[in-house]
Amino acid sequence: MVPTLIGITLLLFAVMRLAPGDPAALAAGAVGDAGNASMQTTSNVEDAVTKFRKRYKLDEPLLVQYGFWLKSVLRLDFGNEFFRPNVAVRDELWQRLKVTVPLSLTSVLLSYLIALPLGIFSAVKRGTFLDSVSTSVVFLLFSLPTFWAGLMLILLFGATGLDWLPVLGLHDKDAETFTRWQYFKDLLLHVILPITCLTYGSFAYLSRQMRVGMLDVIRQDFIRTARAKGLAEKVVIFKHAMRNSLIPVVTLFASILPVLIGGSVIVETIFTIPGVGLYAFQGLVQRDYNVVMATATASAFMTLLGFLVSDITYALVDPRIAYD
Amino acid sequence: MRAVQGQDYWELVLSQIRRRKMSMAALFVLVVLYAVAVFAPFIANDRPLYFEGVDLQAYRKAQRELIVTVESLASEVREAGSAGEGAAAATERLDLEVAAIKTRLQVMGRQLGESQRRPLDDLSDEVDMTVEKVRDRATPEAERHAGRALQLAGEIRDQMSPVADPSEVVVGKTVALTPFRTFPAFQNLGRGDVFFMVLWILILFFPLWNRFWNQRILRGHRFRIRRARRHKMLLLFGLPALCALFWQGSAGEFYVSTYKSGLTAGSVIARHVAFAPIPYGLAESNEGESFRPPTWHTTSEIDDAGYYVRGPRAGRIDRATGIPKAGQPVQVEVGEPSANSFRRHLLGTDSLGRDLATRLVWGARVSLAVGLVSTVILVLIGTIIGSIAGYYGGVTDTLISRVIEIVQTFPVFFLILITVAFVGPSIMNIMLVIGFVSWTGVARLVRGEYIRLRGQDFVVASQALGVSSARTIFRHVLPNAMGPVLVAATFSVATGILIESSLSFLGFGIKLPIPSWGSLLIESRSAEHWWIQIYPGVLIFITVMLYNLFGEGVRDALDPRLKVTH
Repeated sequence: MVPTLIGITLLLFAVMRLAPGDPAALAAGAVGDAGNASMQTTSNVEDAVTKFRKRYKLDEPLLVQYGFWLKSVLRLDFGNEFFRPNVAVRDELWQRLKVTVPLSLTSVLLSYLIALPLGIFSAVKRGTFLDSVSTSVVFLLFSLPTFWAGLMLILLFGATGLDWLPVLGLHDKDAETFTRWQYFKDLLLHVILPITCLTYGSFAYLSRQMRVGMLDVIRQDFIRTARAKGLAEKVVIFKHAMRNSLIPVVTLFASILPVLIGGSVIVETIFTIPGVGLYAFQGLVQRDYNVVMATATASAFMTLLGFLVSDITYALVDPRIAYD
Repeated sequence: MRAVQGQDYWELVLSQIRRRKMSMAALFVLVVLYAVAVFAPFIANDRPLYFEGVDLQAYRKAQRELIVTVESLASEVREAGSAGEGAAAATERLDLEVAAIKTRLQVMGRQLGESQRRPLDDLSDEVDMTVEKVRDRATPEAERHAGRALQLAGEIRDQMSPVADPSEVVVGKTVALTPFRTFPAFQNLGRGDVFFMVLWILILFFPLWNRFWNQRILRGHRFRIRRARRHKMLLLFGLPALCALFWQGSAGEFYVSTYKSGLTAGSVIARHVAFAPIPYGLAESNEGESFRPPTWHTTSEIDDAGYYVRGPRAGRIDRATGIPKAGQPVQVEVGEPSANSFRRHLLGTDSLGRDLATRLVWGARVSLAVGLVSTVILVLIGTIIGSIAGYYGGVTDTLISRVIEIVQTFPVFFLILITVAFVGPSIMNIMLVIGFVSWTGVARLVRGEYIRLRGQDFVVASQALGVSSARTIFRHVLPNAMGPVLVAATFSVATGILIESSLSFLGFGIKLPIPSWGSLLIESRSAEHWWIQIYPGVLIFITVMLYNLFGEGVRDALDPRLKVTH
């Protein structure tokens, strides 16, 4: 765990240093673009360059730079935004995490809730018409690009199509005046499309894996034994087969999470949801290094956390595994 | 009766893949898609495939420019004379002028009959003589020849203006042009185009020539067949490379050609002309057709004044400003379907009125190439690193495994996005970054295979024979470890296409000069321009799906245990 952590910070640092030329000048260039062409701008730019150089110790050797950067990350100090110098990136990031994390968790939960029963059903009914329909649909979903799915959902359900669902943001403009129930309903309507968009990919992946795992287990000898000793089919499937095929699928949680975080950049950009993904996107567009580094660090740590959780659940689901 | 012969690993794999109908069908459609990309110049092009007729406009241009180039030749000759000794640079400039004159003469000459061409030939001779005399440092004679050339060029300007119809010829003033034939779309192919066209044809007919080679030349001798594999690969890539090397065409140019506008204006007169199925150029815009819906759709009907008849844009009042919009009649050029023909713009147009179908056909080149090249890069990196880790084991293995673990922990798309945004989006950067970030999966697979194979007898035998590590790794173990890599590679082509289009979608993708499918998609985010958002996405979706389908077939063929269907 610890070497991985250090490796990740190294990788992040390397990516930041990849930027051609002097990051300070680039950052200042961004500031210069934003300010209007007045006499003040030049001094602002110079000011920004010195600040940036000081902040990232750009005049020091690489190793020292890395050390200082690591220190500031450990203190959760990501600096301020370039364009709103009085906004701390840490505070903004925290606000955004409160949007993205619940969305991602809901999406993971939903995909498990739909994928597991579907995978099991598909495996038990293998070779039937229903199985081939569900397998094909899942296969199509698996190949569907997220951004295009989002655009099509907007076209279909947005104001120009069926006009069933709101497609922008998380709340209506006048959400402040709503009662608690109205507010909740409004939020629910707003998140349907983004969550669909976030979920279908991992759902398709999971249900395919569940089906394969289940088929693998059903072929094994102990299932034949269970049937031979006259157990009810329900017991054979849900007690003997399902529990064993669940183990690998549960650990897939760890490999879904990175995909989900990458996908959140796209989904949040499409639906303009003020989460970490949109924050990262805005940071990239504006070349705001502080924001980019903060969001990248946050997503790497979220993924790591996912790995940890998946390891723990692995131990919980499979009694054969114990951590000494 | 033939004896039952054993098959080696790849023979088994290929025969297994061949038995899977779905993945073979997917492969076939993919081959067609690649054909569209490779043969894009013949599918969507504003240059005619074949043209026979007279080109007054090209002739006039050459005629006008001829006198200017001869004049500057004459002045170069005078300067070369006065410069005296340091004339090397002057003769170099002289050669450039001569080349310019010869090009013009050629353009004019190919549209003139044998007898009409006499003044041009005379001029050509005089120019040659001039250069010769300058080389001999005979300045007065050179100036005399230059003067004679100038006089001839003046005569050509005054007496040889072109007309298309022989009955209109005024002797001493105009000449009738003879029709010539040319293949503009072919002539615009670059070396790369030729390479991939030949390669594609060879791949398509591989089953045919492979069978011929095996049965006729090698007489079904299986050891010779096995040995001939390398020669077949050489032929597969060598022949296209040779064709490309000897190809004499101008490199692909994307600017709009003058054929269509000339034909429309009457300055180019065709006896026969054949256009590509989609007669629009990649960069050919049409002001009257900005964001025109697909022409089979009812909302795309435009009246003669340039106003939409139905649909959301039908009102003549601009909703934003409140004043009547100026109508912009649709310009229909020769070779294009009529303004309201349903097949004028089957997939609509973009903001500049460029045909979306044309741009999709050309965009296929970028999108498909990104998938393939990034996969080649990641397979190379992954295979080398995985081989080293798996073969040597120990500390090397631990170290590499750790690195793989770290890179895999990071959200791949996020990492690629940041890197591309920082190093700047270009097609090469995107392919490299995808390759350098996503090699870990392949490396893990190869490492696993090596660990499985490391202790086997044939590896030990090769080590015992004193074969070098590099040779053991790449010649003995690697061929047996490539099965899973093939599967991973197929899927990663799909992933590469997806990643590139996602990057383009976010605005960090490829823009010029050829668009990718992803960057076509963000031409407009307005729901009113639905065709812009639907069609490129459909193509991305289909391609990714086909690769996944094929990949599953390959995986089932290699490892029946993982089979999903039964």
